[in-house]
Amino acid sequence: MKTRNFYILIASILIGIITFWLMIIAFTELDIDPFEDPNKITIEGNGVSRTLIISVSELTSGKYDLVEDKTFHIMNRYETEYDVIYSGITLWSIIEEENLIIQSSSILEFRFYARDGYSSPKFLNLSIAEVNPDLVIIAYDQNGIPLSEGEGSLRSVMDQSVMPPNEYSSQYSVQKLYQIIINIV
Amino acid sequence: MNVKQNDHMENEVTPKSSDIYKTTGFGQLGSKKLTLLDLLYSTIIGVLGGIISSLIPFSLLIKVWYPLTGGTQLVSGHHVIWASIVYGLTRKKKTILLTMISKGLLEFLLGDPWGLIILFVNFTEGVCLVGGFAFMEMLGEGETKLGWGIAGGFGNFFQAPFFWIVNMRWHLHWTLWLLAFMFAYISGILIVGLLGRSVKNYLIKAGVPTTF
Repeated sequence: MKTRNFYILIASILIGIITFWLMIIAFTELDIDPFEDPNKITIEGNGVSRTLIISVSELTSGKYDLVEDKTFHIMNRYETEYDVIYSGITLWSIIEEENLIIQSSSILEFRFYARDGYSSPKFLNLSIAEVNPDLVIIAYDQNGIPLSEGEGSLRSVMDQSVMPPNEYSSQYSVQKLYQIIINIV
Repeated sequence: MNVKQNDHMENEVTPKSSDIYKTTGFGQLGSKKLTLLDLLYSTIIGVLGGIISSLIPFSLLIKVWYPLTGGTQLVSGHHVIWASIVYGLTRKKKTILLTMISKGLLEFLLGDPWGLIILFVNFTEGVCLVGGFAFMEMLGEGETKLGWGIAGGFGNFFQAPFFWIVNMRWHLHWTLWLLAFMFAYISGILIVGLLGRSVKNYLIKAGVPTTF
């Protein structure tokens, strides 16, 4: 019995060590800072004129176009559809108000990144956000309740109607949003 | 007559003090047929599990402190613990499947975003748990903490790779995949196996009738 318990202890320690190193690799390779301010997002990339760091309070200051209590139609990869009510700021109004781009949106693409290592699957053409500003937002409120610290105080939300073929809006609704990369195609 | 009675008494194995359970009259002396109580346990605990799994955001317990995606797998065992508790009370593997089907149906009816596929996921988790317990019994670990832990790990492991593959999260870093799968198995050991076994033992000690 004592030998068996010793083996269990060794196995537990090994699993602990493997988990620890996997986390270290994830933190370093994904460049994740767990102590970073969760209330700020960064917009950067080779498609923008400058890097913009913006906080939740700045987003809600009234400077940008607000979308309030709008129902977003979401579809997941199993093609189950559901509606969620979000309030937030249109991505396009931030880009426009801050004069972030100098090229046409049709030659630019964007992608959302979360602070937990998740990212939206692909870069999408930025013209989607320009043509449908109300349907591509940075949300801070879901169903009338502010997004929580645990879920992240900001998340990207896209309506299924603006998604390219074979793309699903649930995968572009990125919780714990911290970075939007805008690149030239 | 007296001789027969004495023979019968000699053949009885004296149970250890830890194995003494309250005599309830619900047992079937090794029969594999399900009793009414088995069905009631499976459905009631399955429905309870379905409601709790659907409506209580256990993932927040992890999200507030664990900084990487996939960490919520650490509490995913709460989806399967119900089946291990019922198995502990009935010791019939069919009840695991019944519990998971009841739970899956409830999750579907409560509007799970995965629709009917959630029923398939619950059923498959049940099959994996049955396989885990059967394997541990083959190794003589059917009633030990180690056996329950490993069986629980098997039972809880299926859903993590399934959802990550269905969601095609190929673009995520490989360490996140590996960590999520490891956490699913660890959660199975700790929550489905060890916690399930403790809950089962406390329920039996509290007088909940067993059916084995």
